[in-house]
Amino acid sequence: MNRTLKLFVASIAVFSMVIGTSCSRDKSKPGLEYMPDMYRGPQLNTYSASGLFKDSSSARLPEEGTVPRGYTTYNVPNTTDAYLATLEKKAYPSTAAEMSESNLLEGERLYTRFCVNCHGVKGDGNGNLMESGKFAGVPSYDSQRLPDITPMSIFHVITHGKGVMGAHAAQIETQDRWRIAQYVLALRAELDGDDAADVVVGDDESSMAEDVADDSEDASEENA
Amino acid sequence: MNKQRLFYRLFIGLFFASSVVFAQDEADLPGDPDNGKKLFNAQCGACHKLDKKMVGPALGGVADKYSMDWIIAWTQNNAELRASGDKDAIAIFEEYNGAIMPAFPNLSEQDIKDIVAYTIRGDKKKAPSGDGEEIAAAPAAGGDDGMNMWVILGLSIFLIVLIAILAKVKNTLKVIKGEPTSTLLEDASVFTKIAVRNQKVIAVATVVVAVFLLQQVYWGLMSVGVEEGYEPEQPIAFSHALHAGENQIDCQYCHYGAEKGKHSNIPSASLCMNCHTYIQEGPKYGEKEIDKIYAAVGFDRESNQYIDGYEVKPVKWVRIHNLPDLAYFSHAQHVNAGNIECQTCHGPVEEMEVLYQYSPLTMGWCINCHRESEVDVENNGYYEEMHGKLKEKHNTDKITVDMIGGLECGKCHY
Repeated sequence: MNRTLKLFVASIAVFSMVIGTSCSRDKSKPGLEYMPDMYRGPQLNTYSASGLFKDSSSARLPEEGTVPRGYTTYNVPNTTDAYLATLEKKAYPSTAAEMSESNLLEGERLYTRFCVNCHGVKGDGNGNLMESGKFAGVPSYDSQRLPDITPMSIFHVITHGKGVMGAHAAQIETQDRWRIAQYVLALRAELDGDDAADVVVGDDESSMAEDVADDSEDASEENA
Repeated sequence: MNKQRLFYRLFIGLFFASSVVFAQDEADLPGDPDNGKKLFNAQCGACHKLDKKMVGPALGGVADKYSMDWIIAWTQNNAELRASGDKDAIAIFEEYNGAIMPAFPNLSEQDIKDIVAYTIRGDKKKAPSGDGEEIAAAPAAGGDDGMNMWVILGLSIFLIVLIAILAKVKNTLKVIKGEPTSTLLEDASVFTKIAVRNQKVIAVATVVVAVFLLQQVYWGLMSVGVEEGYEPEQPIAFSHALHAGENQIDCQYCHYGAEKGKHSNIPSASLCMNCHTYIQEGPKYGEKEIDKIYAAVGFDRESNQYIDGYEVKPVKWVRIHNLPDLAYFSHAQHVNAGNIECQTCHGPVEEMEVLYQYSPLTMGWCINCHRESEVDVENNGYYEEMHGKLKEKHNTDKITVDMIGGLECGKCHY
């Protein structure tokens, strides 16, 4: 093989190698980084792994019994008896979010985000997941199907879940749960054909949430 | 009583004998299973399945265990039945740890019989065509890259064969003319010799190769630190196309932290359980991927209950969007004040089977958006005066983010 032939073959080889490597990128890799030290400091970021703990997660749960500042806790247990007790509380407790137009609108916004897929836009239990047949048996809020639900029981069910409905306490903050409960009762009134304003608003001195709030204050004092 | 029931069965039998399709099977059923299915889905399905224990027992075969009268009494008001001291009722109540089934006074005896009929017959077998379609559709979704590779390979093979044929034809012609034949390699070397001696050819070739190489180098350098298109394999084959697309679940149902804080949270496995205590099989991977959630939270598929004292195992999701530590970014700010749709930065997530990084997340990209995005000043009375001044200063009605400091270094770097 003479020199020019070698040159010809070599240049073709180089050319095809460049083409072959330049067009493909391994999508499963993040790619090259210039000076990663500047990109990532030694501190732990949200969700970064840590060798300090056995499960390698740097996100830790707060000490049990910790109450974040400004939070209202609700530690009524997830039992049948506790649920039945909530059915006896007919009025909103004083710790509930105020009944107002803006809270109802906020309730609607949150309902549309967290509830509507199963319970439906109207609260008749015909959400899109029911219609596609992925879920079944979601009840309508009307007073024929659920004769004895109260603001307290709705709040309790959002917090702890019921049946196959999961607990939504982690996703929805306490006051937001009250807003949703208010909107649910508005939907219920609409389904029943009543006026939405028919719901009792007021201070219920012996409310469970009140007792609970007291308990948690005691608990936090004890912890301190 | 017996006579009545016999008569009733006869009546039902006659009724169904007249319908052709299910005449054989449904003659013995106590009611109309199709109506029963409707009622079951609306009233019972939240807690009962036919073949599986959920919140309450599996209802398939309930008619073999209890008499129809008992089932009617239990369904309409089980508390009353338990209070009357019925042993079976108390036993089942205790077996499920006192979980209360609500009374269903609105279901008539006939309704309950229909439901029982449905529990006996079960679901009609699905038409096989449905499954076939799904299987056929699956491979079509396979990567485009693979396709392109095969096309290129096919074309190059075709070209090589073409060259070989042409060489053969040339040689054959030469043989006919009585000239000496030459092989392909010899031809190539003659061609190269001529080309190498021609300075114009060399100059053009050099320029072409140099431009090509420089462009490659430039692209390569520009992509350093840009992870656009990053599509890592996740520990669970979670499909946003299914959850956010087909099921229309709000982005912030799971990523509820996006409007609350700096980070949009990655949902915990227990949040998956909000739906997946009930939905235990996926349309594509069946039980395989959902079992990974159960392994994380400690849920037993058979008994349909959480395992006591299980040590939860966090799911190790691979983080896709990585901003360097030197840049500050807050989701809450962009979601609440900016009122920006998730899709603006994250792309059509509701169509992504596997999630990838849609935006380059470069500084230039941030700045561009800050220059173009209009600030909503309409219902913001508090800053009315300031907004008025800004409009005057920039001589425009449209206030963009850069005018209110969106390009200041210290906004993101401090």
